[in-house]
Amino acid sequence: MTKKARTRFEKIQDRNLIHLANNKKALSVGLHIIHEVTSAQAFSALEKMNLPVKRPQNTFAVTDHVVNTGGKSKPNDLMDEILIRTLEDNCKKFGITHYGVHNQRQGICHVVAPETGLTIPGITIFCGDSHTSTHGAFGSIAAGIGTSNVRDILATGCLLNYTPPKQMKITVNGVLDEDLSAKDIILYILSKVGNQWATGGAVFFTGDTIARLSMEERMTICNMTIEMGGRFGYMDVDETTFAWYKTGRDFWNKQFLTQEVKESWLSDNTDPNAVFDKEISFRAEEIKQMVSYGLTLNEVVDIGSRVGEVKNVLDSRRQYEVSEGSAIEGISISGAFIGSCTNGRYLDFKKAAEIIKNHEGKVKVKMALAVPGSTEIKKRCEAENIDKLFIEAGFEWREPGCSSCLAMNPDKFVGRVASSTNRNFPGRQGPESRTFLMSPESVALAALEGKISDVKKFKEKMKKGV
Amino acid sequence: MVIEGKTNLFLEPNVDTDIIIPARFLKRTSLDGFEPFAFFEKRYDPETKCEPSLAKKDYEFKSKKLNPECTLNRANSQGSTFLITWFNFGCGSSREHAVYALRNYQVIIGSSPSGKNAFADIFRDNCRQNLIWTPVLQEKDHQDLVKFVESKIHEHPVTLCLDTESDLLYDAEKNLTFNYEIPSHHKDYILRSSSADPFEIAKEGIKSQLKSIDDWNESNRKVIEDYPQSI
Repeated sequence: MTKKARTRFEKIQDRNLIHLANNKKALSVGLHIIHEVTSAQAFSALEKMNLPVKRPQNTFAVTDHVVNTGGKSKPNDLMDEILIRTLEDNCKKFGITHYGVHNQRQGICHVVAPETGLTIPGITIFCGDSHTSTHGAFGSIAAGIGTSNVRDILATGCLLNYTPPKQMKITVNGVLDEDLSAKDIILYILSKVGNQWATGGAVFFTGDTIARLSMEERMTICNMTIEMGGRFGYMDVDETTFAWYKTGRDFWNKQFLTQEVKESWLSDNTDPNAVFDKEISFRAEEIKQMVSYGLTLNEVVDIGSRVGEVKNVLDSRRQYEVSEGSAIEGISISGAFIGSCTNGRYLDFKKAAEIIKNHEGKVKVKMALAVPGSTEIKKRCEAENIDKLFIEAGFEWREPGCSSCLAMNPDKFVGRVASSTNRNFPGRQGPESRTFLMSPESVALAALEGKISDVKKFKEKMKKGV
Repeated sequence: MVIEGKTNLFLEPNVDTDIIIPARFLKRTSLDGFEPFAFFEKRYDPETKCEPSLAKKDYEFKSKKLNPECTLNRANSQGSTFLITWFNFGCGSSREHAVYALRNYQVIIGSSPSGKNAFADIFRDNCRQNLIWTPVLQEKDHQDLVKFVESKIHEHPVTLCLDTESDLLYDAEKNLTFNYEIPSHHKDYILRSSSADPFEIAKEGIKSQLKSIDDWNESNRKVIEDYPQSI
């Protein structure tokens, strides 16, 4: 009998699926990442139930959301101090490895777990954060959960009441313009499918364009699956994936990358005849530099377009206005942000630094923040003097954390901000802010010009040496 | 079971969880007490000041001014059990704090206009965990319900009923009756226990399933122990 063709997701899911009484299902969790914001209530419940953490060795904690990027060792306020201390105490009490603010590898959870080798292909990963789909870039199945799920996983090592998601596929084939980035790809996809296309689904990203991307770029794509409503975003493994594991990492010994391991990782790849509930294809040649202008991910256009209708309810009491019909290129901005689990990695800063290096003058915005995704990335950038380029151009070079991506710290913007983050929701980067999402290079150029600008035009000038 | 109570309306599309509970209020470590900060930027005037208080170890309103235009502030909808929303409600961040902030509601009604989902996936599941019903009406029914509520609420509170046995939603005088959709496992989960305490239900669920999970763990040691490979 021939075996049913399955997606990579289904293969990993099936071997971790536990059938319980009354037709209930649970999914065994390989890696449970926790952070200071969505775990406190879960630990309280666990104590009230008088239960231990079922799999402390599979649980990993990072402090990231409320970190003071102006000086990690000092919490911003009393509430932050309580949050940070609560996580520290819980980790000690329950025997969980914790990369706190003083750890040499502290950073944003979705940056640190891959960097330390905790994220590996073929496992299930959950975290109380909707951008957990990032880890799917490594061929794992990973999703964000609420605090009740965090509690259940702490207590049982499993996601309880599991219902298999719909299988979806997004294919991108063709040659991407060399001046573009992974962020342009995912923003382009969002501009076509909108913020609900993948609701409740597991999205398989594939195609030759995707296959040519680096691991960092793949993470940027999987990271934003939630912005189209999807819970899981993932990719097949290949040589690029293997290369990530040729280096020894905190939780990964490079000797583990044997031929046998590679083959087992490859055997999980999506079968050619796997069936999807929903699929859509794109050509990379169609993609241009992308920018969001509205208050949802439905409102994304290319740099040559005009501001469209903002369909959400605008709040005239706050500074959210951008006039409909005005050109995207040239919209003035007063803030710039490079960082986050979407675009706070080494390659992001390196590419943005290229723009800065080739641009005369300083930033023309009130506040420009560069916030590395992890201590490791910060150090690497500093070793290559990338930090100096940012600082000389007028950026503040901060310590690693989630920072202004969700602004539950003092890193708040006022007015229009060009941002390498993932959400343009009203007030997301500060109650008086309005976010324009774009690639890190686009943010760097926008900061230097004081307005949203065409990266391709600039690079052409750059190449001609004008 | 029939749930009966007053209703409230918040008819914006794509309400993300940052709107329901802004990130700066996620610093609280309890389950209770999020309600005053729900829809903060919508319910309050920008002049409202609310800051961390050292003494209270919580947020404290230094000054409070309501936004008179916000439907949530109408006198006839205070203390509501039902909240009528539109579509893609609860999108964005997975923060369950958004649901903690809405725990005063027992029922959140959504709509699914063509091709759209009433609720974001993670948010809806978080509602289930907190025993909040998320019935979804067809577009036309939703429009009729909104019209009906809007026509009355300026004069007096509007009472709605949710019959969870027959999956019917109606107003107290039965002028309107609608069928609704809710995933069967949500319904089962909320109805399973006679307890109305989410904690007790979760505890019962965890304890009853631990044995089967232990058995599975025993026969699947390889799947678990393959990872992480300690160095």
